Amino acid sequence: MTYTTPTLQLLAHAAELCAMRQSVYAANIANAAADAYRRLEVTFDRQLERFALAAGSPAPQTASVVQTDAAVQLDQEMALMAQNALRYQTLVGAFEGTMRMMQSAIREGRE
Amino acid sequence: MDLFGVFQISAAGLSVEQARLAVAASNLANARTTHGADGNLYQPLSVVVHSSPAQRTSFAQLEAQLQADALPRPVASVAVTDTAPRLVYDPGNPDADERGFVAMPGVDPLTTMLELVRVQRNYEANLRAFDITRHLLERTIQMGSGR
Repeated sequence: MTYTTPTLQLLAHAAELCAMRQSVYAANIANAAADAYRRLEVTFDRQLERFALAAGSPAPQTASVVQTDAAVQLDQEMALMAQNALRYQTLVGAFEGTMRMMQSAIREGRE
Repeated sequence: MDLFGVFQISAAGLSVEQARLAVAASNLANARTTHGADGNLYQPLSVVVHSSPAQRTSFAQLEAQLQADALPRPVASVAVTDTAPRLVYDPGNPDADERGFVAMPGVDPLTTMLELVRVQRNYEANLRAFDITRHLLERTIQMGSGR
């Protein structure tokens, strides 16, 4: 999806990656009972960092899911999921703030 | 990325834990079943959980899958174990052999109870994951409204 401002574009992309992380952590928890299962992890931070430096450039197309060689530890997955959920909500809040700012500009600052 | 697909993953996790719970309950309930409807001794059951699609070797790159559909889900299958029976001295029992010993199913109550604790923990974690996903979706749907 294309947004009018780089800020919205960046926020939308970050939120999408947070959603990806949420699904990967959910899969790790769901598969915790499978002995042979090894936990998955999303790697995208470096891509996002590069994107943030050059805001306005097109969003990176892919984040990758990698398989680690560690077994699932429920506590760790729950902690990561809680952290990721907070991050997602922060992004949604920032999205709303940006939208409010644009609406205010459209109304020329009048209430 | 579609968060709705995550519900299916957590649901798969919940049903696997339910299967483990049912098998543990069956083993405990039948701990003293000396013969079933077929006349044979009850054999303890065990649940084998594997992921589908199966994972590849460690550190394999999973081709940048951004769909929740592509993530592994747990699948449970029930297997009959060949645990050796416990011999209990009970000469009055109709199933006792000529020396007065009765073969009881080889159910280990301690291991089974520990399994139940693990099942409960996993079930709660899956339920929590389900709840967090629901909360995130609600937050997304309500974005920009009422402020």
